[in-house]
Amino acid sequence: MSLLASFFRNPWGRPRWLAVITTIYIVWSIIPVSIAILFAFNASRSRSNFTGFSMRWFNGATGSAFHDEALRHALIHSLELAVLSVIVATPLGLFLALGLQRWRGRGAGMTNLLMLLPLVTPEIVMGVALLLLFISVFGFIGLGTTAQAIGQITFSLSYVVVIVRGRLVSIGKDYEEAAADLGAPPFDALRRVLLPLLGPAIIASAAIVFATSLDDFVITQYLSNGPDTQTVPMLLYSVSRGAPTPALNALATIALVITIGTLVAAFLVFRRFSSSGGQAATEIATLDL
Amino acid sequence: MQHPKDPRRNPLTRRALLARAGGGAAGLAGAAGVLAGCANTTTPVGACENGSAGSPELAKIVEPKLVGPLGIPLPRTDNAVTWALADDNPMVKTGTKPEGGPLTIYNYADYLDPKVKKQFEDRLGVKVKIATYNSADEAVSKLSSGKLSFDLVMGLSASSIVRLQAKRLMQPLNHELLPHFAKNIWPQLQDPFYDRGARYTVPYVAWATGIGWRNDKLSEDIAGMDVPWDIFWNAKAYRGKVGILDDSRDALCLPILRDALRAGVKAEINTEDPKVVEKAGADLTALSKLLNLRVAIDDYQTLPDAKTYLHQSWSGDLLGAAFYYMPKGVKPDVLSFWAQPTGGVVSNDYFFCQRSSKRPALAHAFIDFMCEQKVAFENFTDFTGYTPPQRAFDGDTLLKRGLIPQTLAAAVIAPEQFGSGDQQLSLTAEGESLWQQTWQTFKAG
Amino acid sequence: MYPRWIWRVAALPGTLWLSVFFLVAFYAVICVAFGNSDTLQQPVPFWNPLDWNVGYVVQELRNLWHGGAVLDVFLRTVKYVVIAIALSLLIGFPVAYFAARHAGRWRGIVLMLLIIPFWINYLMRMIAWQSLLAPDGYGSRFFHDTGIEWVFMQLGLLETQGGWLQGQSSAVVLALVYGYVPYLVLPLYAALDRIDRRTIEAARDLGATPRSAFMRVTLPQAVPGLLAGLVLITLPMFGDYYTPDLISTTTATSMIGNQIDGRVNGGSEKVSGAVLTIFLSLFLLVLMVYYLRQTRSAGREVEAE
Repeated sequence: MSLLASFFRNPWGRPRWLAVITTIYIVWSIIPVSIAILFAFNASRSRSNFTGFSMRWFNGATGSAFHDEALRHALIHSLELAVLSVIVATPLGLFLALGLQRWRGRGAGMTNLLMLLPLVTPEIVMGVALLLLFISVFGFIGLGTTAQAIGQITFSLSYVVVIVRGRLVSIGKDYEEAAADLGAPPFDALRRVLLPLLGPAIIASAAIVFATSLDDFVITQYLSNGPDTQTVPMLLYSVSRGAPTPALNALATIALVITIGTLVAAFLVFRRFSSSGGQAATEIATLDL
Repeated sequence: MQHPKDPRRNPLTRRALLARAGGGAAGLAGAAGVLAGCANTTTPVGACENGSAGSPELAKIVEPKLVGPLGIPLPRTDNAVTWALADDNPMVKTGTKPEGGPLTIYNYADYLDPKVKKQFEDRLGVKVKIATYNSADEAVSKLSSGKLSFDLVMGLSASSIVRLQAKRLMQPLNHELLPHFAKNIWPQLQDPFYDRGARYTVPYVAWATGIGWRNDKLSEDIAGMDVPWDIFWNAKAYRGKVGILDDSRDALCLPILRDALRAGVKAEINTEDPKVVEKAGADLTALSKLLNLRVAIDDYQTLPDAKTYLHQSWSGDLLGAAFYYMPKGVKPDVLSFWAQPTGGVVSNDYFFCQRSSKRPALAHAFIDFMCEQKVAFENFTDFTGYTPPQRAFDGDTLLKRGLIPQTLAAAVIAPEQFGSGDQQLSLTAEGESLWQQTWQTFKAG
Repeated sequence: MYPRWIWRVAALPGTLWLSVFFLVAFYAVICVAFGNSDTLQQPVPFWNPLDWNVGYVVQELRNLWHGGAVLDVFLRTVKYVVIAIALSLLIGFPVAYFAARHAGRWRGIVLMLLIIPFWINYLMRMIAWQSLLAPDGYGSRFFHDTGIEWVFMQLGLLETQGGWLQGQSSAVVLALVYGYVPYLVLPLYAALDRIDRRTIEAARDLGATPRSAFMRVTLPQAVPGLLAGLVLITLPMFGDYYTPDLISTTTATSMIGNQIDGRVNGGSEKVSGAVLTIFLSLFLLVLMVYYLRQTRSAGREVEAE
C-alpha cells in the first residue's frame, strides 16, 4: 500500500490520503441522492428495489407527480411562495443593506444585530414564534399563504442583506463619487451607477431567496393551514412517513431540478459580472442555512 | 373582587385554574355563550362553579356529574348530551343545492378510499381536497386555534366533542339533506349519547382498539392468553418490531386495560386520577425501554411489510392492511387481530361540518354520499377496512365467504359490541391536561 | 453627497419588518410562556409584562420536569449533537483542507461537488437514506455485505441485522452528520482559503516541519472560521425534529425539538412548548452571541481592507 506508506512517511505533506477522504466524502454525499433520483424512474412501486426504467411516476395516468392533484398543487404553491418571497425580500433586503452599510449613528449597531439574528435562530424557534404571533397578535392574518410568505421573507431577508453588503464593500464609494464629481445628482448616481453595479448581487440574492423558499420546511409547515398551503417539502415529509411511492422521488427530483437550475442560472449571471467564479460560488453557497 | 388578571394577588397555579374548569378564561369570552350559561365572562376563576355539583348539600344527595370546559356537561352513556341549536349558528336550509367545489376535508391520512373520493368528484363535478392530521390531539388543537377552516372534518370521536363544541367549531346538520343516514346507519348510532339526535355529527365508521400481529412471526397464542395485553410485556424477543398507537388516549389505555383485566375489574379508561394515568405513563415508558417501541399509526403498512410484528392497532388498520397493503406473495391471513370482547375500547368516529364552512351543502352531500350503502361498502372493502355502521353490513357473510380471513374476525365490529365495550370520552379540562402532560412525558423517551 | 437621513430611511422598511416579525414574534413566545391558558389549553398570552406570572412558568417547569423526563431528552439531544459535531468535524476538516489547499486544477470541480449536496433539500437527503436503510434497501445490503453492519453490531450501535430504522441512536446521529456536514464544509473551506499561504511558506522557510507549520500556523488561523462553522451547524441541530422523525419512530431517540414540535404543533400544549422554546433559546444564546461577534469582527476586517 503505497498510499499508507507515504502517509506514514510524511502524514502532513502528501495530499493523497486527503484526496481519498474527499473522494469518499463526495461519493457518500452524492450517491444516496442519486439513488433516490434513480428510483423516480423505477418501473415498479418499490423504492428499494430497482426493476427497470420508466417515466410513469412523472407522467403516468395514475399516481404520478403530474397527475396527482396534491403533488401538482404542492409544486404550484411552492413556486407561488418562492416568487412572493423574491418579490418582497429582495427590495426590502437591498435597501436594508444600503442603509446598514452607510448609516452611521445611533441604532445602526442594533439594527445590524437584528438583521443577523434570523441567521442564527434555529428554525423551530422561529416557527413557534411566528405561529404564536399569527394566532394571537396577527390573528386577523391567521395561518396560510400570507403567513407562510411572511415567515419565509423574514428569514431570507438576512441573506439578501449579507450578499448585497458584501458587494457594496467590494464596490466601494469611488464610482458614485466619480459620478457626483461629473455632476450627477445624488439619486442619479444611486440609480444609474450603484444599482447597476449591484446587479449581480441582486440577482444572486434573488436566486438564494427563491431556492431557500423552495427548500424551507419547518416555518412553512408551522404556518400552513390546510391542503391549499401544502408545499413540496411538506408533502415530502408527510408522504415519506406514510406509504410513499416513487412518485415522491419524482416530485423531489422535479423540485431539485428547479432549485439547482435557479442557482446555476444565478451563478452564471454572477460570474459574468464578477471576476472570480469560484468566489461567487462559495459566496452563494456559504450563505444559506 | 380582586382584579382577575393580577397574578401577584392571585397565586393560583395554572393547573389549579384548570381544576376549577367552570370559568371561561379571558380569551374564551363569548366562545360558547349559547352552550353554557356561564360563558360570557372575562373572569378566569370560579365564576361558574362545577355545574350540577353546585352545593355540598346536593353532593350528598346525588353523584356530581362531570363538567368540562365552560361548564359543559361531559357526555357519558348515562348522561347523554343534547347540543343546543342556536340562531347564530344556523343549519343549511332544506333544498339548498350543493355549492361548487372544492370541498375541503380534514382527515387522517389513508382514511378515505381514493376511488370513493373520485366517484364523489365525478358525480358532483367538484374537486375534493384533503388535508391530513396525525393524531386527534393535533386535529383538535389546530382546529381550536380557530385558524383552520374546512368544510368537513372526519375521524374524530366522542373524546373530542366537548372541546370542539366549546370552541363552537361545529355546524348543526340538516337531516333533510342526509336521507341515507336515517335509512342506512345502525339504530344505535342514530341517537348517540354524545350528540343526541345526531344534531352535529354523523357516524363514519366503527372500530375497536386491540392487538394486531403477524401470526407467521409470533408463535404465541395471543387471543388464548388470560390477559392478551400481557403479550407486550412478554415480547422482548421482538424488540424493535413492536409498536403502539401514536394516540395519547389509546396508548395510555393499554396499561390501564391490562391492569384491569389482570385484576378482573372494569377498566376506567376515562379516569382522571393522576395516580392511575401517571402509572400508565410510567408503564409505557418502561415498556418502551424494554421493546424500543415504535410509536406510530401506520401499522396498516408496517405489519404487512413485516417492519413490525406486533402492534397495538385499531381494528380497521388490520383489515385495511389485508385489503390493500399486502405485498405480493404474502397472504392476508398472516395477520391476526384481537380485541377485548367486553370492557375494551369500542367506538366510532364521525363527520362534522365546520361552522366556518363556505360549502355546507356540499359537505352534507358528501356525508350523505358516504352513508350510501354501496359507497360505504366500497370504502370498507377496497381500502380502509373500518367497519361501516350500515344496517345491511354483514360481517358474518364476509367471513363465511372468505373475503375476510378468520384470523381477523375480531376486526369486524358488530353493533351489539357497543353495549359491551367502553369509549374514550371527553374529560374535564384538568383531566385533558393530565393526559396530555403524561403523554408528552412518555414521548420524551 | 447624499442627504444624511437617506440611509436611515432606506433601512427603515426592513428594520420595521424584522422588528414586527422577529422581535414581536419572539415577544409573543414570552407572553405565551408567562401567560395563561384557557380551559381548552389554548394559550392566553399576557401582553403586559406586569401581568407575567412567574408562578405559572415555575409550575410549567415543574410539570415539564416530571421525574426528569425533559432533562433526559435534553441530555440526549446534547449527546447526539456533540457526537454529530465531532464526526462532522472529523469528516469535514480534511475535505475542506484538501479542497482549499491541494485540489489544484481539480479545485473548481471539487468545489462544485461540495456545493451540490448543499442545495439538495435536506428532507430529500433524509428520504434517500430512509429507503436505503430499509431492511431490503441497497444501503442495508451494502452495510451487511461489507461487514459494516457487523462492526456496528459488535460495538452495540445496532441491535438487529437490517434494523437501522428501528429507533437506533447511531442511525439518527449518522443521519444528522449526513444532513449537516455540507453546511460545515463550505464555511471551513472559506476559512482555510482565506489563510495567507505566505505565512505558511514563511514558517517552512524558517525551518518548521510540515507538521508544526500546520499545528502552529494553519490551525490557529483556521480556528475562528472553524468554530463559526461549527456553531452554524450546531444551532439548527438543536432545533431538529424531523431527522429523528424520519429515521426512527420511537421515543428512544426523541430530541428536544421533538418535544417542542409535539407540544406546539402536534398536541395542545402550546404553553409548555413556548416555555421549552425559551429554554432552548436561552441555552443557545451563548453560541449565537459567539457567532454574531465573530461575524461582526470579520465584517469589520472586510471593511477595513
